[in-house]
Amino acid sequence: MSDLRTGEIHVPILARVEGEGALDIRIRDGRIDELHLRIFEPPRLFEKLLEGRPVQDVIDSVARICGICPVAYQMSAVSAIESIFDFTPSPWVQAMRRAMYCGEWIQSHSLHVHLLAAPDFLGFNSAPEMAKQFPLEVRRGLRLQSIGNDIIRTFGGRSVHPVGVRPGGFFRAPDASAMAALRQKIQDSLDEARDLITWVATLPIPEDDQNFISVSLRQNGEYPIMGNRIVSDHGLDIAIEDYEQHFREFQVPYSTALHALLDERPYLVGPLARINNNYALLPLELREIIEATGIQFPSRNMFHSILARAIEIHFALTETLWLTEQYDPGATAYVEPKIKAGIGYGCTEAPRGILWHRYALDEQGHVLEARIVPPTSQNQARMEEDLKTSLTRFGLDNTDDALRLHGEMVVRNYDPCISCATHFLDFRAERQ
Amino acid sequence: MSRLYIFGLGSPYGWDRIGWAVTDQLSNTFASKTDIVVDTLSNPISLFSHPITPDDEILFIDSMIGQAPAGTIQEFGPLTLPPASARLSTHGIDLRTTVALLTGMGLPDEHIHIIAIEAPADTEQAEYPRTTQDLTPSVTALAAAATDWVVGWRETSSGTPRNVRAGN
Repeated sequence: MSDLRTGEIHVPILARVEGEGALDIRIRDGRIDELHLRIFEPPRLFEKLLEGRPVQDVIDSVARICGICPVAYQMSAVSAIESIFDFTPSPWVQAMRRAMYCGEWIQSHSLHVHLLAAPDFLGFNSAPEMAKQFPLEVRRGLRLQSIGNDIIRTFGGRSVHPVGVRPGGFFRAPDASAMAALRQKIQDSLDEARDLITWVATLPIPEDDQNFISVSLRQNGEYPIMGNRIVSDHGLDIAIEDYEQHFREFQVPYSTALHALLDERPYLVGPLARINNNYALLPLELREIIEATGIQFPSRNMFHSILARAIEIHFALTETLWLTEQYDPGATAYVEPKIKAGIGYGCTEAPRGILWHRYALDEQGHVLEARIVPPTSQNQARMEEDLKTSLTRFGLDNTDDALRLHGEMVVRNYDPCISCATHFLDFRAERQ
Repeated sequence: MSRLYIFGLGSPYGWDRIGWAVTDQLSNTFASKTDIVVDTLSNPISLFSHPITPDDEILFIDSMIGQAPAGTIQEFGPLTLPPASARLSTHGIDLRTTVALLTGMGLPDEHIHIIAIEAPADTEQAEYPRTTQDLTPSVTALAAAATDWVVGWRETSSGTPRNVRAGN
């Protein structure tokens, strides 16, 4: 096969990603002429569904957008709503919300590392196949995932679509015995989380350095989960309220999910971007574990995303332990905020990256307008840019099957949640 | 010591509650049996929080749609488990994938069992159960079938004749 290859490659259904998408590549004269990450899952219209709803309905409804990151949706929504009410949650509520969020990072990242991404690097078609050769590693990953679920359940009543969050705090505080049992499980898992980082660092991860912009939150000297500023490694530093002045969402004809650009350039959100922008804010002990692997951050290798997820699992476990160290079951679980009309913004770090919400409420606290920008939408343009670079570097003279597999691996590396991304409203208007 | 793990699969909603309701009953029935662990799961993959070994056996209790008339109780193994009638999110690992993971990790096919009861095929048309009491006939039938299965398993594994119901 010559380097002036011409042809088309289609991946009709992307496997091991959440939702329904496809990948079409057209190669002409040895170069990628056209590449479309095609999202064809129908729009879900959540923003429109929220109009007219009271705020508690918003918090519980947006959790249904995603089965893997419902806490992120709840937290972005509740922080936007509380900002409209000029309400600042108590330090206890802020700490427990952060702990609950850590649970979501742990379960989401564990699932992705072990069941979705690791099989790619080790040459398996599926996680069950991988489990035959790596049963202990898969079991360890699933144990860690279950701890994440336990944390969410402790605060939210259940791990899938939890119901514990409300304006002003939580509906109830976990009791002391539940918290003690949870803390013991977390404590017992720390060695496994450290071993996970070491194991992931030894995977045959391709060298694929690229230039990209890392975008994340920044949070008052803490590793960011719920911050009030959006930063990049290219100098961006804005309040979350100014998001729309710098980021542009737009429709492409082949996708039911919007694309997004930062100052007209693709950008990355998610665990690798978070670590690239906030490495120094990770605990010293964790940085020592990372440095022992020989892999350095910031990293330009997109495939280090899997290591970033393993690192954030360890971080989230130790952070939850720290946040609950002086746990007070008698703390006031919530304070009733006074309802006000207005516009509010919330932005939190979902497992896949920043999740930006804006709500306009009327004087009864009912939604007039909602806008939600999920991380997968924001990563779509970056994914296409990455695919062009990575596939070209991989070698376009490879067989179609090899290119197809490599393309899927690149997409899966972002852990895209297509179902989250397909909820926008202006479907027909943008098609014109 | 090998154990039998009984996992009720489901959620707090509608017919999907049956798996949890049945395991609620079974946890009482087998409370004194140290070799039987009963748990409810909202996602089958959560079972990996238990220290399951290849010597253990697993019984899943669930409701299902699309295999037989409503109320029919069926037993499956890994090789006879029918394909899902609806595609689940990859982020919500389904029973089939969980079973594949278990067998991949060395649990023999014959150590994995599924007992399920058929819910009405068209849940939008069928009467929606408002309370757990509405599900009582189905829960009772499925609990009895599961109990009989466990009694049989205990007699087989202990070599005793199958003539008494465990826990009674």
